[in-house]
This record gives sequence, structure tokens and C-alpha cells, in this order.
Amino acid sequence: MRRADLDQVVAALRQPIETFVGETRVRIALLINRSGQVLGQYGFTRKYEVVNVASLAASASAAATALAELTGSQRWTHLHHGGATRQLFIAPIQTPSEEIILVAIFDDDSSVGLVQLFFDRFGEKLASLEAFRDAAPTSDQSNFEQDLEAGLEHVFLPDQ
Amino acid sequence: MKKLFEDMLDRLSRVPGVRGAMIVDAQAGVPIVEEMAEGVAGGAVAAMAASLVKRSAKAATTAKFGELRAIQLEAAAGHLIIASHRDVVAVAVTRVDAQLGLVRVEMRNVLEALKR
Amino acid sequence: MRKSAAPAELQRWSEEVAHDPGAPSFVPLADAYRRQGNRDAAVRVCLRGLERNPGNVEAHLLLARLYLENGDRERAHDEWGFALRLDADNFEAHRGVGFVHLDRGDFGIARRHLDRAAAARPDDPAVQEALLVLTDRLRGATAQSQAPAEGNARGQGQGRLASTVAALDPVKLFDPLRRETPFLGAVILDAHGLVLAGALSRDATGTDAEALGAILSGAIEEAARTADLLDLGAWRGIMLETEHAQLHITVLPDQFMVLLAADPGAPAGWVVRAAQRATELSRSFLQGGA
Repeated sequence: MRRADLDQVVAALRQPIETFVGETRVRIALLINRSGQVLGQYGFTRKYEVVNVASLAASASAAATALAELTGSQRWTHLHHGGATRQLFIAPIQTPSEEIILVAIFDDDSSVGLVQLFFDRFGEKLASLEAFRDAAPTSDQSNFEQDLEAGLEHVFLPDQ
Repeated sequence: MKKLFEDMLDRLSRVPGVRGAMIVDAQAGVPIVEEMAEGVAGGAVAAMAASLVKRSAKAATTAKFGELRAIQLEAAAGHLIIASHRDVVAVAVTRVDAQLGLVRVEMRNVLEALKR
Repeated sequence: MRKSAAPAELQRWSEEVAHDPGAPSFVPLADAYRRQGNRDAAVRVCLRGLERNPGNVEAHLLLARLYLENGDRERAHDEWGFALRLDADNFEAHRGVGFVHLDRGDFGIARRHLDRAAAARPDDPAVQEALLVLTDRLRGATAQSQAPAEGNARGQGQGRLASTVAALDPVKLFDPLRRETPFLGAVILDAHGLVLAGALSRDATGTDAEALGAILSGAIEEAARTADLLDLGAWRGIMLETEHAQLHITVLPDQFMVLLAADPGAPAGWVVRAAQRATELSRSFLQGGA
């Protein structure tokens, strides 16, 4: 997503993310696009953690898309990893601008059923946001790095 | 085993006033076996019933009331009856005029089968 | 039933009362303090307000209620008396004075006030109960020397008196249920989790009521959300059956709740019925005091 559109998109995503976190009681929620550009987050305190999770989730999403195509199962709906104490939920959301990806990390206080239940509403809410109608994906390879970095700057305060 | 649960849920869902019944994985909040009437969102019932059980069980332990056994949620248009055993819960969604005594008996049968 | 005050309203009332202690807002302000559990501040605001504005009937009634909750029936009686001088037909004042005289054994005065209260509100359960007690007591007084078989009837009358008197004391609000074996106690909790009336047997439940309210808040919140998401309509209550106790929570307007605890072996039907009775007592208590 272009740097020029980030202000509007990041601001528009803040409230829906908080609502989703409150409803599902997930510990961490991260929204990225397929390039790994960060559009919103809740629960992370360090930039480098976000960078790592964002890039790995973008890779996981790309792998899931490729696998879905390869196996003829069309679109992938979500990936769930049930760890011993923490669980991971990754799912794509279609918006008018581009596909974005939710990464949610949760523990015993939530469940994959609860996350799935509220994820559907969350996806609908995001798809209807005005901010995505006017936003455009990064089109120029030379701007890619800067746009990626700008996403992080928008969701974190300068001293974090 | 699955057949046994299906038979039990079938009996439970035939009790007058019952709109659906299911066995839920309490940790994951997803249905294991379900028998729901049309219009009842099975996924939502499983997720919310499991969440309610988790929170209530935590409260019961904190208050030193011991293990949570059952929950009966009463609302204007119906009831949610839940019987809990370890990580598995049996759930029935009923209308407000349901035969609750009979529902509880059938729920106990499901629970006994779960314990075996 | 008065709604809980919003912070903005509280702020406005506080400012008005600071400027003029007799401003009409001293009554809702005192009531808000009372609902927050700050009875001392509520009494102070009432007394200062009544110095400037002694003709405020609502303030006398509220002060009577505050005295009653502090266990001071005599002062409560005096305030109801003031209220009756200002409003000769006031239901709440007649009922309060009637109860106090019934408790004292002044049956004639009690009858006069309870009849007036019954005329104003024929369906009030507490007044009906008090009139039954009064009839029993009068019958008992005239037949004091008669056969011991009547002792039983008098015993029942005493039981009813106990329940009526219990209705005067917030802590004893649910005492009529205490006679039934599975009952371990009941309380009314406000939106802040403070106990407004009733008591739980700490020995039986192992925890105090306010702590229990806080512990259960997560489950209560989830119950409300579940009913909403599953289209079950407005949620009315929840029953939790645990190893050592059965708990029933009923929702009342303005975020009040009635929490009832029962023996784990109590039949579910009994728990639901007992919860209904506790709810009726609570509604009566919240709708202007017993």
C-alpha cells in the first residue's frame, strides 16, 4: 500500500482491531498485506517482533495460496496452529483495495472457535471500510522498501 | 463411539422444545458432533458454550466451589443447557417452553457416556 | 426504580449542591452516594439539604431508608413521620411506620398505617404480608390463655413477622428463604459489585459475597453475550452447578443482580423457584424499600 494512503487506512483499522481483540480475547492481533506491510496491530510492544511475525505470516500466506492452487482447493480460509500454551490463527480478508491478512495469537482465554466466530464479522467490517476504497497497492518496485517501512512507523510510536 | 454420541444427540434433540444439541471440544470451541435445527448456528453455539464453560469453570475454581458440572442459561426466548466433563461439553439449545427436566435427564445420559 | 447516575450527572449534581446545599439535586446526589455504598456521605447530603429545604418529602423518605439500612429504626420512623406530615397519603411512609409499630407490638397504630398503605397500593407483597402477620398477632393476643394447639398458628405468625421484619433490615432481606434447608444465602449486587442487601453464609460458600460477585463477573458477562449472539433474547439468569454449591444469578434492571447460593444437592427446580422468590423480594426492596 502506498505511503500516502497509510494514514487513513491505519487510523480506520484501529477501532475494528480493538473490538475484535475485545470480542475474542486474543492476546495479539496483527494486520498485514501480502507483502508483509504492517497496517495495524494490537498487543505487540517491540518493532522487531512485528517485523518477524509479519514477514513469516506473509510467507505462510503465500505458501497457503500456492498450496490451495496446487491442490485445486481454490481459496484458503485460515491456518490454525495449536501450540502447548499459545495458538496461532492466520486468515486472509478481501478488501476493495487488496487482500490483507490477520494474524491472531491467543491462549486459554480464547479458542479457535471463538476467533473464527468473530473473524467473519471482522472481515465484513474491514471490507466495508471507506479507507480501502481510495487506497491503492504499491505499484512501483522502487517504493516498495519505503512503503514497507512506513507501515511500521504508522502503527508504532517513534520511541518503540 | 461417534455413532453412540449421534444416537444420544438424536434422542436429546427429540425432546419437546429442543432446537438442537451438540458435543463440543471445550478447549477449541468447535463442535465434535451436532444435531441442530435449521437456523441455529452450530459454530456460534459451540464457540460461545465453550467460552461460557471456561469462564464459569475458572470462577468456580477461584471461589473454591470445585469442579463445574452444569450451566443453565435462561433467556427471554430460550435456554442454553450445558453439561461439562473435563474437556468435553454437551450442549442443548431449547425454546423457552421446553421440557427442561427431560432435557436434563438426557444430558446426564450423554455425560455418563462421555465419562465411560 | 431510579437509574444509576451517569458520571456527568453526578458532577452536575455535586456542583449544584456545593453551590446550594438545598438545591433539588441533593436528593438524587444522596441517592447516588447510597447506591455507591457511601451511606455516611448520603446521610450528610440529606441532612444538609433538609436544613435548607425541610419540605422535601423525597429527602425524608430517602433519609428514612438510609437510617433503616444503618439499623436505626427509630430515626427512620421519625423521618417517615415527617414525610406523613407533608404528604398524608404517602405510601412508603405509611408502610414504614406500620412496620415499625408492628415490630413494637403497637397493633392499633400498625393497622391504621398498613391499611392506608394497602389502600394506596393493594398489590404490595410486603404490606399484604404485614397485614397477615398483624391478624395473626391480634388473634394470638386475644387467645393467649387458650389451648396449646394454637401455639402452632402463633408460631407461623411469628415466622411471618420474622419475614416482615427481615424486610426492614437489608441484611435480613432473604431470611424468609433461610428456613429452607438447601438455602445458603442470597445477595443483591449493584453494577459495581457492591452488596446492597442480603448475606451469604461464609462457612457454606467459603467466600464473601462481594468477592464472589467479582469472581463471577467474567461468567456473567459471557452469559449476556452468549444470549445475545445466539438470539436467545434478553438474558434473565444463569444457574451454575458446581461440586460444592449451586449458584443462581438473576439480572434486574439498572445492572442490579440477585445472587443465590444453594446446597449442591438441591433440586434444580427448587433453585429456580427460590431464585424467583429472592428476585421478588429484591424488586420490592429496590422499588422504594421494604
